[in-house]
Amino acid sequence: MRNLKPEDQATLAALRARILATVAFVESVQDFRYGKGIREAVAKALEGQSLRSMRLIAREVDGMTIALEPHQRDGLEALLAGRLGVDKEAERAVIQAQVAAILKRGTIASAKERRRLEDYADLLEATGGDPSEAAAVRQLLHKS
Amino acid sequence: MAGGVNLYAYAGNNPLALSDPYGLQACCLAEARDLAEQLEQAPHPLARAAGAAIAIGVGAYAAAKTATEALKDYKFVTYTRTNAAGQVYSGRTFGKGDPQAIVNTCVAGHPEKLAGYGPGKVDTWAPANANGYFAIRGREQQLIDANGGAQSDGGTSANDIRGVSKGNPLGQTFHEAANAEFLGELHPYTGN
Repeated sequence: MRNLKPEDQATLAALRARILATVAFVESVQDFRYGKGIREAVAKALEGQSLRSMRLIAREVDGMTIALEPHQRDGLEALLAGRLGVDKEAERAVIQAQVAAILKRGTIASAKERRRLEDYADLLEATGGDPSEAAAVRQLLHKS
Repeated sequence: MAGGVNLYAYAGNNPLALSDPYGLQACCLAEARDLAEQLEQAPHPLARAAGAAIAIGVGAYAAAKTATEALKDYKFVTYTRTNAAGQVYSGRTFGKGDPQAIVNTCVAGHPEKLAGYGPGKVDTWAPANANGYFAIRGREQQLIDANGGAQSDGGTSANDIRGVSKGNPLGQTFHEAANAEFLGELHPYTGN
């Protein structure tokens, strides 16, 4: 077991709480059958004090919320904000700034970055995001 | 009562396919609209305020219902593209409507380096829900592996990288979800 710094311990605990709250919410609104696998992975990451694993799980669980209906997504965001102080608007702003930087650069740096941009464009479509931003991302995906 | 004592009448007798999360039936919605209109023309200001509040609630419900209905048409889709030498690119995408149309839209945005590959061919699809998300993640990786494996793994497919990284803590869960949702294993698990 690793010895994490106190701030990393806090991040680990916050990510764990967020993942578990999200999974419980999804289970409450959909017939979701893979919560057990997620909880086991979270327990393993906690046991091994692996911040990297916990971050990966959190990113996947966050990605899964693309499959929530709009009113369900709003409910989840309200729950995370009220219970854990998660500010999804601020998180979206950070991602938007990262995407804007890539668009300004005009090239895609890696296959991983391409995958993330594709997922971002899908998310914009599913959540009714800015069509001009989605078009700009799709255009870059095509030319680069 | 229009639905009698049938507890599932609110969902058209199909509780698995439909739901009424706001506790309102279509008939109630129409009645609420009528009531709001009547109250908004009432002489008493409180009655008019109540009418306006009901109208706002009805509007919000209708908007949420429309958005919910729209998402029902969304799907996760996996697909392949093959070049003249038989090398296969596998991918996943997300969109609304017919799976082949979703893939066509995705392929239209592919980079120039895939220009020599054939059209996108639908492998399979899953509905846009959390189970579908897990299943399609696992399926994409199985599809890449079944077509030679990612080049980052020393494989021969046209995919530079894996769909799911080897050390992804949810890799096994994605794999099992794909096996369950698509009724079979396309390729054994290749993660750690």
